[in-house]
Formats: sequence, structure tokens, C-alpha cells
Amino acid sequence: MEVTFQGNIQNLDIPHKIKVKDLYNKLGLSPEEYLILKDGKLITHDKYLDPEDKIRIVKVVSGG
Amino acid sequence: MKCKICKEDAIIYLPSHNLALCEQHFFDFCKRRVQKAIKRYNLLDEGEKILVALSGGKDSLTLAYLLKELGYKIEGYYIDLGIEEYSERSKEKVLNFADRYGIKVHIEQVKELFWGYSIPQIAYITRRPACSVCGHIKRYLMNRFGYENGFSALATGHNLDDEVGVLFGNIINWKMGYLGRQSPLLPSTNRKLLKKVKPLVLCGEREIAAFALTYGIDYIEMECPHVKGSTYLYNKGLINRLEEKSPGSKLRFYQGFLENKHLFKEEDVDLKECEVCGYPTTSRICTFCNIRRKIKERIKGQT
Ligand SMILES: [Zn+2]
Ligand SMILES: [Zn+2]
Repeated sequence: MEVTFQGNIQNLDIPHKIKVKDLYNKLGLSPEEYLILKDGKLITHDKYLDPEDKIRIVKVVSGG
Repeated sequence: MKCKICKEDAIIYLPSHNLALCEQHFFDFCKRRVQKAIKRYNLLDEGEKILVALSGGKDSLTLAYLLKELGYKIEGYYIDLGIEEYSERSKEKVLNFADRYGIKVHIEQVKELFWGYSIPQIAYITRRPACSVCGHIKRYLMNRFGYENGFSALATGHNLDDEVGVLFGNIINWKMGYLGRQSPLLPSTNRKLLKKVKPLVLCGEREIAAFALTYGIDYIEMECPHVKGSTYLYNKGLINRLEEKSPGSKLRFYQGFLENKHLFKEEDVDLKECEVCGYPTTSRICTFCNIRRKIKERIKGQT
């Protein structure tokens, strides 16, 4: 899976399709602090992602 | 997951409201949250001239977007802090945003007002933390610009998470004075002080980022390099753990505080006019002028 995070692209080894909720857990991401987009659109936690999908992870916490 | 309103595919689920929304209804939701804060806390009047502090981040740009969408009369204000890459990139975001949405934006540069010195250099010379110097200079300049150009309100992008983080810190340390003053509305207490408002206080950080990403508001993801590692950010993390376990905690904590604000008395401050610049201050010479004086001394010492 191709993951864009803060402008950098990384490849994530995801052999099978995965629920968005499980991806948060796998990567240790807080659902309060990170958003996941697929093809530029937000995706809810009950949806599934394919190994070929391109996603973007965005951190939402700012320093104020 | 389906939108609770129209049953179309949802783009976001908001645990604190137990609400899943589609693209269209999430837009309406955010707009209503801002309108609700404005009405409930009596922040703005229709037709009043509002200066919106723009940093290039998600909060300030979303704030400007939504205020305009709600029909308020706004102009933007950006301060170039001279913090290298961060300032260059944030300025670019602000200018592109202003251009795209037809918002007039005013720019002032710290380096121009401080004989070529940037925020990090000013912090070093005055032996103050960069964030404190930056905060003082920003507040002073925004207020002065707004006053001199006929604005009556200054709007900033502080969101629910920011306010909850500050509130938590103030309660842990029982800063009674700060608790008395923390509010989405700081009325003008002097003719040279603009009213300050925070219309995003009922919007969570996650909602604001989701809004900006969904409706194409291009913001700077990069953080100011000086902010990392603060207690404030650590507290935000703690509060997020709590919110995950018990959704709605942030809203209950903050709204409950505002409902019980009478428990924390606001200290009366005796405002005088700064002997140098004439703007209101609690001391003889205001912090801004003091910082300028130190920089001037430094320049004299060098020649
Ligand atoms: Zn809908
Ligand atoms: Zn002064």
C-alpha cells in the first residue's frame, strides 16, 4: 500500500485487504489525532482498503 | 457507514456527537458549529468589520473560509515572523488562499519592524522563550493594525482542542487569573484594544482538519519549528486518550467550564498608556516597546 505522510511516500506491506479501523491499530495511530484519506477523500473506519490502494495519512494535532 | 441525515455514504464519523455525515452534511454541520459559537457566546455582530489572523494552518484558513461563508465582513492579516522555511511556506499558503477565495489580506513583516531581526534572533537577544516573544509581538501588531484600520474585532483560529489544552494546564496549576480570563470572547476594555473572538471553540481539531481536506483548503501541515516538546502538546495527547475512551469529554469539560466561569473571578487590570507607543499596557512601557528597546541597544552596542 502506498502511503503519503507529511509529503513523503512510503510503501506499507499489507498483503490482504484491511479494515480502516484495523490499519489505525496496526500503525498505532490515534483516531483523534490522525485522518486517513483514500484517493484524496476521507474514509470512515468501517470501510476496507486494498493492498493496491493509495492513501494519505494526516496528523491533525497542532501546537497552537 | 451512512450519513445520519440523508443515508448517503458517510465521509466521517464524529464520536463526540454520535454522528456520521456525508460530504454535504458535514459541511453544513461545521458551518452550524461556528454559527452556534458566535450566537451562544455573543462573539460578532453582523456587518462588523472583522480582522482574521491567518497563519496558513488549517484552523485560521478554515475560520476565514467559514466566516466568509456565513456572510461576515472579513479581511485577513498575516505576520511574516522570519522563521525561515516555515514562514516562507505559510505565507505562500495564505496568499494562495486569499487569492482563491477573494479575501483581502494584509501582511506585516517582523524583520521590517525590528531592523532586520527575526523572531528566533529577537528571542535570543532578549533572553525570552521564542514562543513568548512571538506571542507578544503577534498580539501587539495584530491589535495595532486592526485599530489603525478601523476593525472592531480580531478573530483567531483557536479550536476546542486548543482551549481544552490551555484549560487543563491552567487547572492543573490553578492559575486563577488565567482561568478568569479564558474565554471565547474578550471584550474591548479600552478604545485602542480590539475585541478578540474565537469562533472555532466548538469545533474539534479533527473536524477542522477534515473540513479543510474535504473542501480543498490548502494549508501548511508543517509545524512552527519552535513548538515541539512542550507540556501543552503532552497535555493534548493525554486529553485525546481520554476522548477516545469517553467521547464528548472535551466538549463537556470546556462547556462546563464556561457555564461555571463565575467561580473564577476576572482580575481587574489597571490599563495605562505605554509611554513610548501610547497603546494600553499594565506597566509603564509595554512589552513590545521593551523588546524593541533591547534590540536597539544591541545594535548600538555593535557599532
Ligand atoms: Zn448526508
Ligand atoms: Zn509600547
